[in-house]
Amino acid sequence: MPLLLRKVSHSRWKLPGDPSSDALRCLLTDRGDLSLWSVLDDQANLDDIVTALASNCEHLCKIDYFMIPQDQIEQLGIRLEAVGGATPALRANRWHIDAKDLTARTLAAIAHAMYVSGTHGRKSANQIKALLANALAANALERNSMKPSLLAELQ
Amino acid sequence: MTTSGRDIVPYQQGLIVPDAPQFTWGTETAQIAASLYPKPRFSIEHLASESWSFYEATSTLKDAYHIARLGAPPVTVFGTGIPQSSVATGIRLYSLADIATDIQDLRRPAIVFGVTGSLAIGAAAAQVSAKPAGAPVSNTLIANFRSQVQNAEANRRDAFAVWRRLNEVALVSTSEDGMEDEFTLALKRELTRYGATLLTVFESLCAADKLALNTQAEALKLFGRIKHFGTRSRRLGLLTKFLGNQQAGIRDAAAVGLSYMAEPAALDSMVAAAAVESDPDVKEFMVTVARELGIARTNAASFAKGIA
Repeated sequence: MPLLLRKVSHSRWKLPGDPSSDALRCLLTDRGDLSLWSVLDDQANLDDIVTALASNCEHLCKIDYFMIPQDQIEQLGIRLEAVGGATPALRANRWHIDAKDLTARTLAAIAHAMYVSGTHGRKSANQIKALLANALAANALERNSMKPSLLAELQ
Repeated sequence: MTTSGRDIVPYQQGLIVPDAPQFTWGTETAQIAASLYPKPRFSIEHLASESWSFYEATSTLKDAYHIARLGAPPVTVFGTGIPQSSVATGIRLYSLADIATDIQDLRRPAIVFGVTGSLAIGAAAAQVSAKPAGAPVSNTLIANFRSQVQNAEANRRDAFAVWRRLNEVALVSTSEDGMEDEFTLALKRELTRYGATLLTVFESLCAADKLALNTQAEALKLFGRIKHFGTRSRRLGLLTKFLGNQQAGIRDAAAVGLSYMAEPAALDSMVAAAAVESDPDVKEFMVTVARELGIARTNAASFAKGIA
């Protein structure tokens, strides 16, 4: 069963509140849709997805994420739909998925599932820099779609 | 003669500033002041405080001004400290050695007292020296000093107001890693404007639990990321201090900030923090950052050796 990945900020999930309601800021939706990424069982595409997320940033930073088995989300009655991502990582965009038509209740349920049974991951800014540099060297990123401020930090 | 409700002891003749390499905090400063001021009716207890705020430092310097003013004769007031204090206070800085030399050269009676601050702007000292009565009065330096103190106080008041606004902005900002938002842009702007004073006020507000934890976390990350040379060492000190915060989320944000800053000098603090960290995720990241800082330190040493 694949995993679903969501970019978050772990500092926020570690504030008091088990977790704090501030953690919900990491789950901003767009017209009821939540952006997720599908990670293969063997996590072979994990670095590609993290690189895609980093390549979409305005500046170099660490990337935090939660991963949760897809079936746990589906058991919440949430509809998932493959929707191509919009990052400079053209080949990784196919792993993008939207959780559709979320309500406040289902969003809170996703947050709870992530917090209770999600797998936490983090790549430091240095690790991200290396991933982006390798991806650029391998022509895996569309340079023109990247923010100039980020590219400047990679020089 | 009184100022601020306290008695002023007449100046002592022939007092020389100890040419110590540096003032240390609190007690030692008080001892120095006591040796210079045998009847410690003026703010010795104040000097002994272990927890100086910028306001207290400013107030003490202001007291120096009052002593000078009430003492009638023309006076000279010097401040000394590490360079960051000039950012915060605008007070002209002299080294302790300079002051000692100056006093010796002038053979003036003098009162010197050190002012230290928890804000780590370093030691500041004020010297009040008197010329013989009847000499021409020149208050230019005092007027300048008074203006600087007033500016510093105004800056601090403004910085409090700025943080209140930033706290409100943070409440509605997305604060997504890697993206600028209203909060990060505003904080960058204000840090450039207020320098170390903004950091000092941040620390005060955090200690008083007056800033939302999410605001604190986002600010700490940005403190590590922003390129602002004038406050670099102050930000480094602040982030290092917050590695010991009681909230795991705040310690994590401080570690993230230090990873962005990539300052090898933070290595020892990071290793020490990792050793006692109770949250396994935060601990793991601290170890990662320590490893990266260790590599950076080795590279810096190799580079330096190559130059030599």
